[in-house]
Amino acid sequence: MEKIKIIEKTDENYPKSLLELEDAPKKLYVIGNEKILNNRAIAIVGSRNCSEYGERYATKFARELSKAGICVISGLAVGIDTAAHKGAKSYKGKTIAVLGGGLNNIYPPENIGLVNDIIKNGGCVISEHEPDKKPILSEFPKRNRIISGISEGVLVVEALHRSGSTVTAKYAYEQGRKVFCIPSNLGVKTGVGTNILIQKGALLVMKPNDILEQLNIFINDEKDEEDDEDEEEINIEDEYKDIYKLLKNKPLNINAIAKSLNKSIVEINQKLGMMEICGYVKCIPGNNYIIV
Amino acid sequence: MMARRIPSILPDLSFEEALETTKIHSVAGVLSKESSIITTRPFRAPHHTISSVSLVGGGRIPKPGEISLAHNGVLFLDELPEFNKNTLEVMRGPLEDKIISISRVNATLSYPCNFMLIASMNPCPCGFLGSKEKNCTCSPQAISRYIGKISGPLLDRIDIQIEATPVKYQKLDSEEQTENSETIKKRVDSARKIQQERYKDCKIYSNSQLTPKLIEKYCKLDVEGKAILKSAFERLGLSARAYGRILKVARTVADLSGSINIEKNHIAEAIQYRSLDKKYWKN
Repeated sequence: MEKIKIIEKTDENYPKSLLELEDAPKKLYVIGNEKILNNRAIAIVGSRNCSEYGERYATKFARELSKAGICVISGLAVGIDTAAHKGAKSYKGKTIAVLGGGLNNIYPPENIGLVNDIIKNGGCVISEHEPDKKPILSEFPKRNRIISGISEGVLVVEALHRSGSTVTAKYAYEQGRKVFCIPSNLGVKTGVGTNILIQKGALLVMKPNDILEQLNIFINDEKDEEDDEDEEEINIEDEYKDIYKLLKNKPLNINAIAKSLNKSIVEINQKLGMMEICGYVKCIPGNNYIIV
Repeated sequence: MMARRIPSILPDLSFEEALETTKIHSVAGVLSKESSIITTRPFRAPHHTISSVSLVGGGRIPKPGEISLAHNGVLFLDELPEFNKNTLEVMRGPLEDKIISISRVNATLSYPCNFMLIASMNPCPCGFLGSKEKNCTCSPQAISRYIGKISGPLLDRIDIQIEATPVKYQKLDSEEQTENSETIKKRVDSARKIQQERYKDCKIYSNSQLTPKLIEKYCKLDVEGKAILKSAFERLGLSARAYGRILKVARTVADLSGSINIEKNHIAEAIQYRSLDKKYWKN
């Protein structure tokens, strides 16, 4: 993981749009490319427990917005947030993830691979908290003011009634940002929040252009492909290095690791056991291993 | 499917074991007319609607239950969280003591129940938690309710916990070489032989029967092994009950690989087999 940078309010890279807020964070902790914090940006937020429909459109909108050069902002949570980051990533777009905890405690841990990808694509991960602060779920809604604060508008894809996403929309209204919503069927639990927002005056969007028009942006096909793979030094024993390298980009299960390293499952199992005890890796549901 | 194959890799019944198992089956009245003695290890797989009485035994004059019928063999509980919680909890004592004492007005009887418990379950009610192919549709509460049916103490008594990933079609269709039961059985038999030789003065046959005192004697760790176990306990938050059980499993792993001493890799493997403890129950 790259070094954590601290950006003070006086720093030129501190998001200007955040300065307008009364409760703007005094400083931001950033991993990755801090220069994009002042890019034009749209936040895409939504339910953790999303449907396939929400995931599909979050991905699509994020991709299209990235194509138009818009930075996609989200909260790295499972569900819609992850889909949004991945959508932006699929176009090698720059995306910003705003964490609710410290940067050394990425939550949820299964998204560590995604964080690496975001940074690799020239995006960044930010937080207002000390790097070692543990993620506390009840404090997460507060970081939503940063998500809406940095962006020009917030797109809510799927939201339960009175959920974190509706909190983000509320902040957006207070901060004078635009709120966009993707409509859902009636009777779908994850659509109640968004439908209520539409009823209250959020803009119903059906295609990414609906958002771009509001921002007076015309699509230009400028591609921005930077791909510098920094091989950072891993400070672990040689015998575990090959497994560590494999897991760096995405979580894998033991069979996949054994297969790609061409070693026996018993051997890999013992090594993973040692690595877990030493605190290099962690096992998550699905029998997948991720680096810590 | 895998659970049903387990008896095929277990060591053969000794004459004494065969007699014991036959006796229990005879008392229960389930011995078939054609056979005079049971020569294969029993495999019992009761449905999850089973009552606690039929699991551990009971009745006016107590008859042996499924756990005693599985004596010297395998008791397989499919879909573990679907079992009645109380039914599962009554197994805790017998799992430790290998004997069940049933008291009724008419009689108090003790039946042996030295069985291997095998259980299977889904990670969540919908079955797709952690799956790459499909998304889990369960709420966190539903998952914790489902997982919560298995109590910590019961889970602690399960030495080897493995999460299996769904088998893809290509794998079912492939002609990849895999080990067959015969090869595995040979390995098991040789490990058994090592254990019988080692414990010939202790009146036990296998690692699972080791008492705390014997664990101290036969599961000695070197400095490195001790350090690993210590950091594993601190980092992974294992229970005290897990300690002896991890050592026994590590001893078996060492026996299977033909090693005289328990090495750090064997400890690491034994700890790996407690993966569910760490992942699902300790959130």
